[in-house]
Amino acid sequence: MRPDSVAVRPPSAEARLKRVEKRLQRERMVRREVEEIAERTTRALYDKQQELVLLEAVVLATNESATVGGALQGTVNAVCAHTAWPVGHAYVCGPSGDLVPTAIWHIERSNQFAAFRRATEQTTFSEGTGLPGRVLTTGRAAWISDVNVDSNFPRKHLGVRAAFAFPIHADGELQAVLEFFNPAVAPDSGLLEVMAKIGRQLGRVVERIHAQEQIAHQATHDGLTGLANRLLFRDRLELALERAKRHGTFAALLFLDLDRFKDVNDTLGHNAGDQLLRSVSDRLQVALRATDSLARLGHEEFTLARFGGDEFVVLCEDLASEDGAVRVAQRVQQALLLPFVLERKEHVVTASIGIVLASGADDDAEGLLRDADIAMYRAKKRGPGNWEIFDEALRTRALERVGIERALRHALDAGQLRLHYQPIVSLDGGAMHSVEALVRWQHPERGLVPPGEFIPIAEDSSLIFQIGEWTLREACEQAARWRARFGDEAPLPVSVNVSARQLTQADLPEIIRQVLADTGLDAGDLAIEVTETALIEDSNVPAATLRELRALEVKILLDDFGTGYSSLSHLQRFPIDALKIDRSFIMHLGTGEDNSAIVRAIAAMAHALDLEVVAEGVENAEQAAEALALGCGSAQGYYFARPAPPKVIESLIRPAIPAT
Amino acid sequence: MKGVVFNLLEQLVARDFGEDTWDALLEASGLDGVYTSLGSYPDEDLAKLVGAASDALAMPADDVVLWYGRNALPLFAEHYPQLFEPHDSTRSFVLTLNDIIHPEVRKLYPGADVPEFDFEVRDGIVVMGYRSPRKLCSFAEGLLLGAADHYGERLTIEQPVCMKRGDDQCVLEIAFVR
Repeated sequence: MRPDSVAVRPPSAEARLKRVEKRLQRERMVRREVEEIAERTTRALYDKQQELVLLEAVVLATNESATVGGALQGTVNAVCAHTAWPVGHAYVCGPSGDLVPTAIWHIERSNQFAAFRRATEQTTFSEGTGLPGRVLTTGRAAWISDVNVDSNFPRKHLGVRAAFAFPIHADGELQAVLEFFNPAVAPDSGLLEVMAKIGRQLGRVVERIHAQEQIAHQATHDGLTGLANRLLFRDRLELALERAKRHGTFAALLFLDLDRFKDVNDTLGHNAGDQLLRSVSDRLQVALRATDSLARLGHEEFTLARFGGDEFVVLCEDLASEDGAVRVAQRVQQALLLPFVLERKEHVVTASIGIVLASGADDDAEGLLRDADIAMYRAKKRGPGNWEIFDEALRTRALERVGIERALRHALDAGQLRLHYQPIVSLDGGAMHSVEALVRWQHPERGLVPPGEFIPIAEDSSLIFQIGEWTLREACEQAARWRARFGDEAPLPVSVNVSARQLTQADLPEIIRQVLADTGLDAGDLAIEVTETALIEDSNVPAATLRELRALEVKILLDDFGTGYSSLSHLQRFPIDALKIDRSFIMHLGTGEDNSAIVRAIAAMAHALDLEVVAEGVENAEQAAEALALGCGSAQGYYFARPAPPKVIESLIRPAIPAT
Repeated sequence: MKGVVFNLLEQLVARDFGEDTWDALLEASGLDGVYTSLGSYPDEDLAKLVGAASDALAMPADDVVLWYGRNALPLFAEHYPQLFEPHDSTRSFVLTLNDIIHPEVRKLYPGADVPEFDFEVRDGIVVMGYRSPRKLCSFAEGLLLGAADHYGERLTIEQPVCMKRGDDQCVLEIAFVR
């Protein structure tokens, strides 16, 4: 159609009016549409802003929370403040998987909602039940416009109408549900979306808190058993002391150390050792709980801790009397009576227990722990499975030991240690053929300190290693000088005592090799003496170590024989050259209180194993004669010679080489 | 006052009395009549229009305002059904004014100066307190009647106290007729 064919006839006035009205209508509709768009965007913007304000409020309320409860409470408050809904509450997921009401509430006009709160706190919601149960099932936020007409809402007609709830997931599980209520009916105005966001935000916060709690738990608990560790225990102990002081009650500390735990680790491996520690921990917990329920003991409370290794500590609070602590100790020992099964074998475990009592008056935590430890050692000394109560005498003895240890450390550096030598003679003729080196401490003030006073202390500390090496070196130097000076007449080998702890040193053979090399002494001129008990007590003493020494041609003497009840088959594991029969068997020889049968049996056994036999502690002619008659080839004792400085020993060597 | 108030009034006047009437009211009030829903306009504009209508229709100003409220309500109900649907009665609807409806109004019309009501339920009568310099208690009354129409109910409203009579607030006593 051509443009000029369009009608150009001017419209009538009426037609024009109609057209203008239509145009106006069109404009009006355009305006309405524009207004609607503007309203929608304004509203969306408003919602977004409010959402941000709310999210920020939640972040603020939860960021500083150290506990999950604090974060939930902060969120409940923030949501109520933001929505102007008067009621908010938090449920947490209980062990059974149900939602359990908490004390976390936000309630305005509390009188108005008291009945609702009561009803809530009396209900546990399982999956699908009510509003929280719905959230639990779906894992999603939910809205109810009016709870009174909702088919699945048990808490009806208690003053609330509109409701919504949303879940908090953390660590992959639903942890909590928050619910909010309004006394008026209300539609879901898109609030659920932002609530779901809040739930997610809160989930991250909960995960962060869980991680922190885990770190805090790890810092205060023993990883192996889950018990309190030393740090937490110290804390509890200090609180307990304050309480005891305030209330005038007793607290007690029990320091437990498993007897011979090392054997389990050494023979069955660390896994078995760890398993045993866990089992012991379990039994102790059960035993303490059982004690707890014995009403007649009072209202004690217990804290059980593991201090590392095989050390457990129990704190008993609120004891009515001192003997309560002893009863707890007995109960602990009873709990260990039944054997533990490790690697399908039964193991009997006992514990040595040190007990210390505290009234809080002038006790400090560190001091009490030290005292309990001292008492435990004392108990251990009395044999496995004993308990001991700390007293002042124990403390004094302990302090003395500490003093001696300090002085002994100084003595090594100050050259106060000497070696004396005691001849070992042939019973057939009485000639000295070798010597035993014995350490002496020449204290500038106390004079000569007997070895019995300082060797056990050295053995309890690392000093024994230093003293042992010093002794070895000193004895080897002396022996080398004698060999050079007296040739075949030198009273060698020189025997040096090696303690049980030194035997556990993996590098002992290496140390001895080094000392021999440094001093130029023949290995055959050195003997080491180990006690029978050292071989029995410490199964870790590898026969291999002794065999290695033997391979060097160092001689090995078994000291104090007869006191350790070792079996023949046990002894066969070790490469031994000689037995030294303990003085307790020799001292009664010839007096009628006859040990002769035992001595004869030992000697016979030794001969059968091709071992030399030395009678120790021979003090008179009768004992010497009897020992010889019973089969001992050599002897040592005051009857022949006391331990003496090298010069004196030299004077005994025949023929004496005249001094030049 | 938000422009939407004028838009609704125009819509109703045009519907019931013709567009020319609206033009006439604007001319009589000396107003240009440019109102957009989101804009804000002087409160006196509404008073002038009501005055002009009162003259034109020979009807008391309060009755004009009441008519406006009662007829505006169905328009609200049409536009914002989600505010009406949760309720089955005028009473429960009215009681959400402060908590639900006005907050929603504020979302749509930022800066809207909506009145706060206080409510008291006494012997089955809802006593609604209103305090506003605009003194538009008749508008509230009209909306209440409109809501009753919406829920198919009848109600009577007494106003023993009114700011227009010099009181410091208006009190509307709403009784529901069964």
